[in-house]
Amino acid sequence: MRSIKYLLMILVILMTTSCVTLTGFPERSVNITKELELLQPYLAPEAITRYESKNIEDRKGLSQRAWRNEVVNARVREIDISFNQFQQQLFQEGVGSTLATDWTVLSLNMAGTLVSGNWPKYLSGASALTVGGKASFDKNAYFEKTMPALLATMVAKRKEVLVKIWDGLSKDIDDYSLNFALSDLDAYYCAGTILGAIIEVTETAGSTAKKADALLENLVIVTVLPKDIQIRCEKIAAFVKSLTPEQLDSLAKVMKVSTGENVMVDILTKVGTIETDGAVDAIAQKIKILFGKEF
Amino acid sequence: MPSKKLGTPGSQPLAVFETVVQQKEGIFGPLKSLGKYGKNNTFELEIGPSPNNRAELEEYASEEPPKKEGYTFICKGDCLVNSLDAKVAAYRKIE
Repeated sequence: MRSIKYLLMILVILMTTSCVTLTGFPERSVNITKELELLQPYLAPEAITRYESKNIEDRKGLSQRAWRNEVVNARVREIDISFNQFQQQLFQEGVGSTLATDWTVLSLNMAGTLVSGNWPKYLSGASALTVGGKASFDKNAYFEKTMPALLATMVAKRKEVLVKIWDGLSKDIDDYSLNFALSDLDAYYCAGTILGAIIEVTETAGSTAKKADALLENLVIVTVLPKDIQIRCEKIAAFVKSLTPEQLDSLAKVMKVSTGENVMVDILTKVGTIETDGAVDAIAQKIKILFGKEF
Repeated sequence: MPSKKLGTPGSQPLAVFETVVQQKEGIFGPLKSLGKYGKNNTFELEIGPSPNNRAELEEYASEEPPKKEGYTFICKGDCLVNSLDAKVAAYRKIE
């Protein structure tokens, strides 16, 4: 009995200590708290009032444009600091340690049951350890698989929004006011959240599906044609390819095909999707009227 | 160079797929690529003069399509033959 207790204690100590040696993020020498304090004048709501002020001294002698840039850069930095802390938190409180913690709590419960000497609870304790451990593993395994993808999405989307912000900062305030910038800053912050990443992933999946649907809708399905129809169609196609752009436009109009850059492709598509003699006759007649050529 | 992508049912045997491609080369121009989308095979044709020798399709099992004496290789694609996945290569007889 005593040996079981010792064994459990060793197990618990191992579980609580084994996952803390690797942090994944090196220590930084920058004092984040101090940095945030310095940024405070640009993060406070007064920064917006100062931007609107007609008195340049309210903006420490800076023009509206220069003040806008100072405010935006400070807020970008603040969001970056928060995002970095969030990333570290996700990593440190992520899969490795949560799994360890869950197992530890379950093991401690089990150990408590054993130490109290309440044997009828041993079996239920062991069962809780097994079932709970499995549930913990399932939950965290999903977390482990999903989180890197979500983090990658966050990083990519944040870069995209940041490029937009930087582009805006090169513009005059008439084209990119502080209010516009604040709205982009909100988007920048949201891009670095789990919810923002989920929305981005969902939207990307939706747009990919839409593109696929569009391809499917535009894909003309063709099958083998009877030889006589094919021969006539090939002759008409060869004639169409010999037409000048102006002639192609006139033919497109009578064939009710849109004129423009793809006019030849569109006319050929009409010819290439013919399935009956009647349809060949209809096109042949239009060509005869327009160009006097018989098919 | 403009091109046109068309589809044809993947349930067809290779010979029928080949005929469809050859017929459409006669309308649009030379074959450019082969593939599949859903239950259909797809093929892209370059808009231009129709080739005298039409594309010939062959199934292959090796990693790369084998070379064919007297033919030029056009393209290869993962397609459907009789609704089953198949690697198909397209060749054109040298004139």
